[in-house]
Amino acid sequence: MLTKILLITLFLLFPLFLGYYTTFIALISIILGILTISWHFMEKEIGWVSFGHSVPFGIAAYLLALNPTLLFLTPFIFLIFLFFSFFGRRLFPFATFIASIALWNVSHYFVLNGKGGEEGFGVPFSMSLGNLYTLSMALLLFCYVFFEIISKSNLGLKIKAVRDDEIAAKSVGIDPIRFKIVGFFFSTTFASVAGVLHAVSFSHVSPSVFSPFYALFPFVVSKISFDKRWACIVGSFVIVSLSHSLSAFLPETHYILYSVVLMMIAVVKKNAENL
Amino acid sequence: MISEIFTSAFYTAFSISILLCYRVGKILNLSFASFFTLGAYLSILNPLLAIPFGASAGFILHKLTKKLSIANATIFSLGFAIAIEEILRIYFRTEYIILPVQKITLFGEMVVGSHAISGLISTAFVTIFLCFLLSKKSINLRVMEEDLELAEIYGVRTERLRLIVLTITGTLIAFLGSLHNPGIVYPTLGWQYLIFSVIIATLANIFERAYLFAILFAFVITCLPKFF
Repeated sequence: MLTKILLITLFLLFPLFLGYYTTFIALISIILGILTISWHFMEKEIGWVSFGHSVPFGIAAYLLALNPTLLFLTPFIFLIFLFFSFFGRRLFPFATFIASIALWNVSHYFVLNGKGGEEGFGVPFSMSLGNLYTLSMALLLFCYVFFEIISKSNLGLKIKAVRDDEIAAKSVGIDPIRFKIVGFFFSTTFASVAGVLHAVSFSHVSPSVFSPFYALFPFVVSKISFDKRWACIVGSFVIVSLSHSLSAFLPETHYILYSVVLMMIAVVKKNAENL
Repeated sequence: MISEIFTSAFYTAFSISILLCYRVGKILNLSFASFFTLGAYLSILNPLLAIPFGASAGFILHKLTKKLSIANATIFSLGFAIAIEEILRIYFRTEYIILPVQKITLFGEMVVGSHAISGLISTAFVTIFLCFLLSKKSINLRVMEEDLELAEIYGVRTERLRLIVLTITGTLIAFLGSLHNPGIVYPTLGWQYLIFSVIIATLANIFERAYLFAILFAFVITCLPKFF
């Protein structure tokens, strides 16, 4: 694990020497990397595929923009996912996706003191790019190490036991709801951290934080990274860089990639089930 | 109130289409969002173009998802929806297109002309569908809703029925998109209509007579704001 951390650190330090624009693109990739790793934990360790990780991401960003003291509410965002988990594992991805799209639409009408709506809200404070990059990098490394340790710990094994078979886990004295809550809490908290960093980096929050770009980003990155946690960081750099470098010729390039990955995954999964 | 009635008819048709795809086609058809947008974009050229394009999109979706499970078919439909949106974005090369809106007076109330037509088409679709449900011919549909494998054992041509459902609903949604758009067309237009209809369909699906409850919920939800 130490070698991986060292390599990731070197990889993340590299863009700092490549000028303002590249550093900013790398910053966005790092923030989305945190979002992807938090999502990856939810899918791989807890066994719940979310198509709506933009919900904690966007809510945290909005809370910061409205009033930073409201951020104390972010630890409770997992309750939204807990509610959707009652729909069952098969409907959970679509329930969360619909929730994120609903929030995307509703947030266009969210106006406070004449501000908000489609324009969104300004964030009351800012940071220099260098400081924000360093902070985001440290948080990404912390997030990566945290989930690596958790997944190999006693707690992680219990979470995995609940993922594999809730009834079997119950029979050996593991409370499924409790460990599901713990897993959701960790995942949504880091997604919220990513949302806060996103709001600070742009000094602005708009309804786009709930858009399918953020909702499906972790899923697509995770799939092109072959479900490896460390590769998710590289994957988020690839998608963000591709999207920004091609935007002059073909705007919203990432969505083409999204559609290809989604359609391919459905077919590949079906073939895998048939094996 | 006329406008609300047309809107509730539109949402009833939309949510019944979602229910049909889910219960018969075994797919939560998220592509409807882009079928609607496709229709809205085609209305720039000719609203009737939405019919062959919607039917083709429904047919292609059926062909590509017929062997997939509900979850995989739904994921595929989401990818398919994004693909259609991107094709439209690349082809039309603009974010927003403003369309001319003609208003007409009906029973002393100003309504958008194309919305009135979409309301009438939706009402016709719902009426025909309810008549079909009451007829003996709907037995195949009901058996397929209950149990796909059992339907196949009874000799129901499930694949053919699924093709019909996906093609007809695809055509309907694309055509409604060409008529019921708000006058501003953009690639993600269809999502708001889809979300609202999915909520209605989800609530209705709790009950055994889901299609009737879809009518009720669509009416209550669209007409409620009028009273507050």
